[in-house]
Amino acid sequence: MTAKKRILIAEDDSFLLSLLDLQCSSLNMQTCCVGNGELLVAEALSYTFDIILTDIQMPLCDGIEAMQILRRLGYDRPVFAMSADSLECEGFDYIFEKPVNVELLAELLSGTPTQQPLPLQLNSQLTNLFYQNLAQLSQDFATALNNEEREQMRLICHKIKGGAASFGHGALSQLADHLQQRLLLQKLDLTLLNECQQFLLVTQQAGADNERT
Amino acid sequence: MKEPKLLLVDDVDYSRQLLRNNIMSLTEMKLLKYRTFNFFNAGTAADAKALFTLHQPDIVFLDIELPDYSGLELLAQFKQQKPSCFIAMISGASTLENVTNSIKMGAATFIAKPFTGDKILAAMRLMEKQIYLQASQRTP
Repeated sequence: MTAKKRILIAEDDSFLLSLLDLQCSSLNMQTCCVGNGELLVAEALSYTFDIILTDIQMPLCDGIEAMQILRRLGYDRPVFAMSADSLECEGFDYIFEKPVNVELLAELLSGTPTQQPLPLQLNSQLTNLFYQNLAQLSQDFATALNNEEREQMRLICHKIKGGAASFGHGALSQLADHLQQRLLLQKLDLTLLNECQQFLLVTQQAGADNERT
Repeated sequence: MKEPKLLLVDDVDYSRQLLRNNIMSLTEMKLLKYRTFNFFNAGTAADAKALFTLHQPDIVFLDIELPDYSGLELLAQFKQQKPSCFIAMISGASTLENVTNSIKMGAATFIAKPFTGDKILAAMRLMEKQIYLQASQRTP
């Protein structure tokens, strides 16, 4: 069975977004939906999508600006636009007029190549370095938690978030991301302190897991 | 083809090592035109500044979140010292603000952590394209 193509859809109208999600899913695509241009840029930079389909008028950053930022950064995968008005704009691979013609969309999607992901090269030396670093960060986090140093804990979460996913700890990376946002925006109350305690436990066990293998 | 000098700036040891291994692997897989690079490593902004001044690298992978000060400040200084330098900013926070600030200050591209093979390849391919373009502009 061939892998499903992955499409990133950006549309601020939640009804249209759900409709496009449904249409693309029915065309055997794996979808990821966002509601503005800022999220579009952030998601596209993960380089995990074969195709981007974006609305033009969106809050925070419109579809043209988002496409231009991505092209400026060297993003060379297909980007399709959807516009209510007729539009000419260099950088898009195709511009649909709204409402999107589903047959035409299906034709273009099937003609778009599936990207073959390039695996990250990780050897044992590198993996050991990661676990040593994680053990150190875990200790630092315990100290910061003990002293209730919110900013220090946030910085450690940020570091773990950035590194863990490359070494197969995607869930830990997501947890770190969630906690760093909470630490940025919320008071260090009992609930948050408990979450920090749980996070510490997870990081300690991610390290211990490695020591056993 | 002259061997490009490449400076890796990240306070996390394994991140620099990961970048180096994966760039070397791209050359071994013949996915890049360059076959070798001359690597330099810095874990702080201060070390990066010293190495940049000394070696004048052609390419820099620069983490925004450094322990002594922001990679964005360093980006501006590097571009002033050597405008042709290809600088790829790296950050765990791929916010629009980080991305647009990096572009405004002269970064060629932006890599959102965690690293993947595709992100590193995309940055290196853009680097080769830009270096090739610069060389063709210099040749009448």
